[in-house]
Amino acid sequence: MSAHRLRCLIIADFNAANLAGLMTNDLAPPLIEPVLAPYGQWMQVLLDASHACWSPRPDITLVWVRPGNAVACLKAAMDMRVVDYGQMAHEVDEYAALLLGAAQRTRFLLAPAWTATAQDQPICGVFAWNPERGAAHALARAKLRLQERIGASGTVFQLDADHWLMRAEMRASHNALWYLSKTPFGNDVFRAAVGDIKAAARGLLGEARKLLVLDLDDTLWGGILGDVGPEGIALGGHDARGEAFEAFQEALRSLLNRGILLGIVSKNDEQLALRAIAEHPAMKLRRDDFAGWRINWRDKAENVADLAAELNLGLQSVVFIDDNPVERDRLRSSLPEVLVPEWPSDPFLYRSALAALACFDTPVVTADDVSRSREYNVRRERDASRAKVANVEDWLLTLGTVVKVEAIGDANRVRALQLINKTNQMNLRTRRLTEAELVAWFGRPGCAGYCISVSDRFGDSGLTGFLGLRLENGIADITDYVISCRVLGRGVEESMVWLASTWAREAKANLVRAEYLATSKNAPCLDFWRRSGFRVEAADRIFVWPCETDFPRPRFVEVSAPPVGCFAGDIP
Amino acid sequence: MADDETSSQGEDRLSRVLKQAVNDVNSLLPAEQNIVLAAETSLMGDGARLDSMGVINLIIAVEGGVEREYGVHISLMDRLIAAASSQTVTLGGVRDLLRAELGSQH
Repeated sequence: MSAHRLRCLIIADFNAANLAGLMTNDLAPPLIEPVLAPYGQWMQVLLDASHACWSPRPDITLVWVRPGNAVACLKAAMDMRVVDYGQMAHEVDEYAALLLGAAQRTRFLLAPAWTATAQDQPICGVFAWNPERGAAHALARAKLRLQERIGASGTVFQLDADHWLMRAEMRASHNALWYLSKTPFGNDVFRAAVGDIKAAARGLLGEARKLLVLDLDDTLWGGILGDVGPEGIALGGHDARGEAFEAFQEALRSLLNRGILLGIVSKNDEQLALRAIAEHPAMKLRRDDFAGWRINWRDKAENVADLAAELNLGLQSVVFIDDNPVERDRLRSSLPEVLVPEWPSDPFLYRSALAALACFDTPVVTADDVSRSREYNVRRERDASRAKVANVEDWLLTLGTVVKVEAIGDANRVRALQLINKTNQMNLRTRRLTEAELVAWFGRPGCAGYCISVSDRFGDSGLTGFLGLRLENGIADITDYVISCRVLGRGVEESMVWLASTWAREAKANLVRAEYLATSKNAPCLDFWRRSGFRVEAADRIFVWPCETDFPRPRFVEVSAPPVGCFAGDIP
Repeated sequence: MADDETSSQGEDRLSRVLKQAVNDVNSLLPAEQNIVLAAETSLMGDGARLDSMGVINLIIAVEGGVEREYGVHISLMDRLIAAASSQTVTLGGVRDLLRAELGSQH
């Protein structure tokens, strides 16, 4: 997690001092230093790029402007006047342009989605959705249009403020707070907002959790499997507890659909547990839905660490859910990086407890994310085949690995960005980029970016590598060397270095240079560069390769780009 | 004895309300500006640690706590602001005001 405080500029059309106070004091990572834009000047600050608020450049900018102030037609709708929807669309577009303009001055811009407050005329009753003057109707249309305008930006994200008000219930606002201080929301709304802002920041910085490890008995289903057998566990059926466990599994499935990996660590009989998962009619999750499992009688902390290692994930990516407080305590004390939430004893609360975990938030979900669990299962099969072949290189030859190289572009930008911002371990410089920064960087003369997709006879791993290069003064610097852990150890690492050296030679460079920037998580990358064959210019930091010598391409990998002239047109 | 117990329980409830309110307000303040849960803590007037926003937050937190704990609404804002014009308002003063109000309502 980031150790320094992220600078968050808060631009609001109300007194946001309480929000700033809560944000400062919230100790959940990442720590945030809020800066309040001058009260009553939200429009001026958004319009004025030279305003002092924008310096130093904020990491996050929060723009929280209530609907009636942002769009005059929405004020009309709340006053129950006829809405001119053409005019409203124009006003929403103008507001979207303001946000997009401001987003150029910050890494990420977050905008709580418009919601009516207690100070607005009440939006309720059968008239609320009247197509001519219904405020709910107009507000919904405006929100949708705004999202359509900003959704593709990659730097502006709406947050679900309705949810904050719902959670705060009767304490969503206080009349006295409004009339005395012009604060339209109660502190419970702001607390929920801070939680979501931090979750969004973690997601945008690539720090969202990636793996949810579950216990089985009284967690994934009710009862002790070993005692009651698969037919005796509480799951689904005409039984309130069973329905609660089934609903919890459905919620887990929705995480799976968002690209979160599921795993099992349980003290149980493995064969029996796998049979229950495969055969119980009410199971919503089947064996293929789990990226891995450790079902045995060993210590759970060891098992969680082991499973994370198998999936090539750091412990800071892991969440562990267990109904047993002793096991939770054991995990917390032995693996402090793993998030171990307190867990209710009542299964009726499981689903809401899961929903309250603001640790899986990511701004985008790609097809690769959704299929990742399947990919891990494929890898398990691949590893099983490895066990049958004594020599690793012989085994690698049998895989038929193909590395496909494509220049960065519109078609692969989202996935590349996600890879760059999420990958921790095999990451040379851990350079995090927004979409705008990525486009700007690789549009510069002398810079090139390549997306690497990997497939083999077991399946397609998708876009799993990114190589960034920059030519300057005869030196080809590797600015980005990022590989998903899913494809490590199969020659992809060496193939990407070969690509870098080929590019450098065609660009008439003298040297390829890799500068390793250490983080708490990228030691595996240093291990690779130490073994790479590059000459060490500065110990554990700078590695170089002379372009007059061909860097050897792994013989067991086919690179789907011609070895000579493969970068024709890309070379600066 | 029974009366003593009732009185003690009432004080516990009141202390709980004030403690929660102080915690709520402190969650909004920088650590160096936190207020101490003590009768003599000055809230408004001489030596006051809270600015106007802090006072508003504290009063709303106390009113909300009383509603949750006692199920009644007591409006403190006007009375405390009026009191502050002539004297220092302390946390103990707020407790005394609440005790009197709750006593008169029960």
